[in-house]
Amino acid sequence: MNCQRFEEVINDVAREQIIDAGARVAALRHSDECGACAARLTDERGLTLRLRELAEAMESAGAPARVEARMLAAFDQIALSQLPARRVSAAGQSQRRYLFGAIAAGLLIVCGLLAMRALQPVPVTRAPEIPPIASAGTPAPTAPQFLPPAGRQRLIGFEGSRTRSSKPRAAASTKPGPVNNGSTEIATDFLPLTYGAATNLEEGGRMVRVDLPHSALATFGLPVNMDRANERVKADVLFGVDGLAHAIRFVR
Amino acid sequence: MATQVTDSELVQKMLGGDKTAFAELYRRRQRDVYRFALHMTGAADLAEDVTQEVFIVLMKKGNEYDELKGSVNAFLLGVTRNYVLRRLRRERSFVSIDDTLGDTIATENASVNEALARNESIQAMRRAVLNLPPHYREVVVLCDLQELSYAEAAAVLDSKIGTVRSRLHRARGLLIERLRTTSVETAAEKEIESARCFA
Repeated sequence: MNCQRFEEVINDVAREQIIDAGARVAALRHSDECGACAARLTDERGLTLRLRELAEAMESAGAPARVEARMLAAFDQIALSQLPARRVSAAGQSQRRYLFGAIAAGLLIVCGLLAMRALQPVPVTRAPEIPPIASAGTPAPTAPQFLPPAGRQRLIGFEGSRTRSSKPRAAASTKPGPVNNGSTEIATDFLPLTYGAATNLEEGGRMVRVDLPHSALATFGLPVNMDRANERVKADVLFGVDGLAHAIRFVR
Repeated sequence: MATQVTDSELVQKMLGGDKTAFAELYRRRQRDVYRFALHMTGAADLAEDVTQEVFIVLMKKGNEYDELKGSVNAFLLGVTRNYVLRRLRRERSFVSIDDTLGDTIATENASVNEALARNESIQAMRRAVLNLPPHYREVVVLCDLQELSYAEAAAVLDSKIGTVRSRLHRARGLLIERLRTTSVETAAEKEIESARCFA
């Protein structure tokens, strides 16, 4: 054995590890012959002894008893927190799903009610000026070109005419008769059916009276009396020169 | 003849909520964990903290233990090592050796002088180990102080046996050098003190 090979096994020899018996004998023989390697082996053995002393001195060292008490308490807590969680996840999953569903449904209902309230126009107002109309869904051959400035303004700004005070009624009644039977009809504001309805009507158009099912009110966010759902409701539809319906109002 | 329940079986029982199994496992293994942490940090309070953290990890993540990868002891020491290295990085001040050894090493038969000399030698050894870089320190602690085999140490350190052997060889060389330097310095100090006495 040479010094290099001796260096490879010196730790195992000094630490008395299990190694090949032949290698141990060869290493010891080499240390007898080589002074430097003998000194190395002495140092290594001395180190091993001192490390063993340290290990023995520390053999009884362990965590204090309070740590064990804390660990056992922690075990209870962890078991409590994890096991019920598993139980809930197994058995209460469907209950939780129902709960979330109920909450979501409740929220939807509330949001729907709020939206309806916000969008709901004041249902009726006297129609102050309604141009001559055609009857029962077919355009009247004599329908005049419709371009009332006031009507246009109201079409753009719906909020302007939502009053039921006596003044407008009086004003309406003083204006030229807008509808067939004079002053008995009440109409909603014009509701736009297309984007830029007012712009499309600037070039002219005509209004056609139609009969619609009562449920059509709901399409425009207006309240529907379910007791009268089977009845028909009158509406005025504004057609532009392009032949498309651009606005609608409901008449009673 | 009753056979002892293995550590792996205790882990399985513990995962099933058996507190007694956990207590038994803790009593079997806490010393190894605590001593490893103490040798690595040199501070009893930190070793205590680390021991707690390791067993809490065992409670929470015991299902990550794989019997095929190594023993429960190796698993626990691996977790301990991670926590110790984290604390070493965080606090970076670890050569505060607690004076807890004095009581443990005195024997009834030894004379006071012998006990003091032995105590001093052990403290010097402990200091030398603590002054090693962590990657050398851990192999010395595992292989020499806790007497793990190369294979077990490799499992703890998640490295190869060859790496463990070479690090241990280098670490022991460093220890011999440092102890020699320390003994020379101590001898020089003693000479100065005795010269002062006779002055």
